[in-house]
Amino acid sequence: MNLHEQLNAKIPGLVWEKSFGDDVVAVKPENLYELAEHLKTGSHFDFLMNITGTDYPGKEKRFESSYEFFHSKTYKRLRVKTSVAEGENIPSLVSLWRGANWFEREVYDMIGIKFDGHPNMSRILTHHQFVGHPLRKDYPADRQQHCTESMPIHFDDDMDYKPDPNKNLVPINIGPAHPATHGTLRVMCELDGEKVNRANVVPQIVQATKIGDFSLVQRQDLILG
Amino acid sequence: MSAVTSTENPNQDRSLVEDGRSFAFTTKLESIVAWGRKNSLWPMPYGTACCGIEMMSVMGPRYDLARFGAEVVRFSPRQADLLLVAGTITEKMAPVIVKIYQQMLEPKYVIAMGACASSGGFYRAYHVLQGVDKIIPTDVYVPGCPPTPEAVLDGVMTVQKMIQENHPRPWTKNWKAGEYR
Repeated sequence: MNLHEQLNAKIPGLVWEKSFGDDVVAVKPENLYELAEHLKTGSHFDFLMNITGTDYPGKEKRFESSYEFFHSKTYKRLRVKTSVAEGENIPSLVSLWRGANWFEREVYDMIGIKFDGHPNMSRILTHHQFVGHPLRKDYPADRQQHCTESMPIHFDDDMDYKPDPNKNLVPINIGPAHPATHGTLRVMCELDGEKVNRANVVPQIVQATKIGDFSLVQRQDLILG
Repeated sequence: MSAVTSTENPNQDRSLVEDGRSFAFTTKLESIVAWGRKNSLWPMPYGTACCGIEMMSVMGPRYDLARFGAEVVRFSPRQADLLLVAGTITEKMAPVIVKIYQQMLEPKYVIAMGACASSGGFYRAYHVLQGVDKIIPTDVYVPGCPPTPEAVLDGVMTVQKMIQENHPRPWTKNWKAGEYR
């Protein structure tokens, strides 16, 4: 039984296409998690390469989220697409692939699709004073929003962080101007003497440019770290 | 030592004249301070993109910024007096660089290295600051994408010339942190 038949038997309403020799499958948002779980455990599409979002202002279901899967045995690729209208959510795949965490945050930041079940659905690339979603088609291409103040010391995965006054722990920020990170990321650390107690990697935005689909190699370099 | 010429006072102490010829010269205080400053610029490298790589080449043995007295690279802004902004400055990073500039001690100078730091370069979109001079007073702009090491050396020499001549810097006046120009 080939992949098409296998998946069609499990999940209703799949629409198959071909694109540059690879399979593309459209799925309803409510069936996405089930499909992804089956792809990971049943079909050995075990590498989630990328998640992107696209904005089609003319369509009824305006936003599209695409997932690129990679088969590590046969080197085949599979793209899964799912469309939602404004205000609708998509199930998060973080519980299946931890790598989906940053991707989904990026799609949320750039396009404004929210993911249900994501542990930290917040902005990742733009600054904390930014309003709106810059890769939406109705966002003016050269509209800039200034960041006037930096955030206090914080960990992205723990916004309630407060230094413990009874312990001599030092929160310290490595990067993003360090030549080794050159603007792409910074590491927020908490040090106990020379021992790193905790560390949280935060990507910085440098070279994400505004184009319809933002899955550029440059951007992957930045996000995959 | 050569014979004393006839114009000199024969009663003067000969040893003083000879010592004076060997090491003393006259100058103005501000000139000698400027001379000292210009030859001991301590740069704070702020490399955020590809210009950062070119900047390392400037510091390295081939182009050797040490020849201009600027080899002591300080990663603490409190010990530096030349901020070398090498690379794209995003809106997200803007408050960080303002804070770094504030921490530097006077007199302080800023070089915007490359197209991005000077004007935003080809990033005219939602995310990149259109030139670091929007938020901090900038003395010298080095064009290029990225600039050649020679161009950066020229930028440093221009700063040195400004220091030597006590060039007026009106752009540093009335500067306020967090204000966009």
